[in-house]
Amino acid sequence: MATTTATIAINSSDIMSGQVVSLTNSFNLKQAGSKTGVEETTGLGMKVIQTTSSVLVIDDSDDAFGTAGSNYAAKLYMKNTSTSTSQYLTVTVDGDELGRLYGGDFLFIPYKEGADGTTPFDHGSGDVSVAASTSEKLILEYMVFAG
Amino acid sequence: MATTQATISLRSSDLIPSQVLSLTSSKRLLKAGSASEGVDHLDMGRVDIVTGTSFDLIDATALGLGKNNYIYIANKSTSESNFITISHVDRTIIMGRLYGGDFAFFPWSAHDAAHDIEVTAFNGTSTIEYAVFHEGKTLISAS
Repeated sequence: MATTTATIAINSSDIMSGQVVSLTNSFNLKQAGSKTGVEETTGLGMKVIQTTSSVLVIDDSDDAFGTAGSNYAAKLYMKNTSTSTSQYLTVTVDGDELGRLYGGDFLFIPYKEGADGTTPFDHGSGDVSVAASTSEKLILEYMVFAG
Repeated sequence: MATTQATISLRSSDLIPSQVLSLTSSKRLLKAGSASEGVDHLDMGRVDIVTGTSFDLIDATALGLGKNNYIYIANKSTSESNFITISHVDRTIIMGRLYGGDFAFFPWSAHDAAHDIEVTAFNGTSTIEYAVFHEGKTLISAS
């Protein structure tokens, strides 16, 4: 059983006057509802995004990650490795805009693959796609962890 | 103008045989399109999410289209079976599940009133900690 640890730290000394903000959190990535660690990963992938049209990154239809049930706790990491602070990648989940990754921005979100019979969430997260704000070259890094 | 730094690390010595995973990324949280101006507003909270009802955790109407909003959500439940589902657009769009101990961090466009961040608890009450780092919001007038 593998041990994979995600840690985040968000720090600011001046976003609030007289109050330092220091959020830290860490956990071991596990299979859904289990103490067992995730056992699958795509590895770190990279895509050149050079179009304002949507580019599919994660295909929900191929059931590629883990096994049904254990993969409901999958995690997705994405990063725009560009250094541009004006150009961005728009991330869509199931065809709906989630947010924009400007140069250097990253995200780490849960991803659920497939139906589970749980009303009203009896479907998966859906496809994850990105589109660039420019036809210039932007680089996306991504990685999926699953049960 | 505030300076807020977010850093994530993903590490494993045995997930990929013969390949140690040691990934770190750090980014100053900036206003949309800015090279130097940091986000300067913050909302934080800690709430208990009971089962049986979906709740709007973060209200899209109060934040801003075209602005940068960064969201952190952690499920502080100690039970590995308790989870919350994060969704939006009246639960039609699912991001995924946060089990006890899990966290998420992501940019959020909040591009219309339907895009509140919704949370729903399963298998027991989950205590949620969250923070929104943003550029400012329009307050709702008192009735």
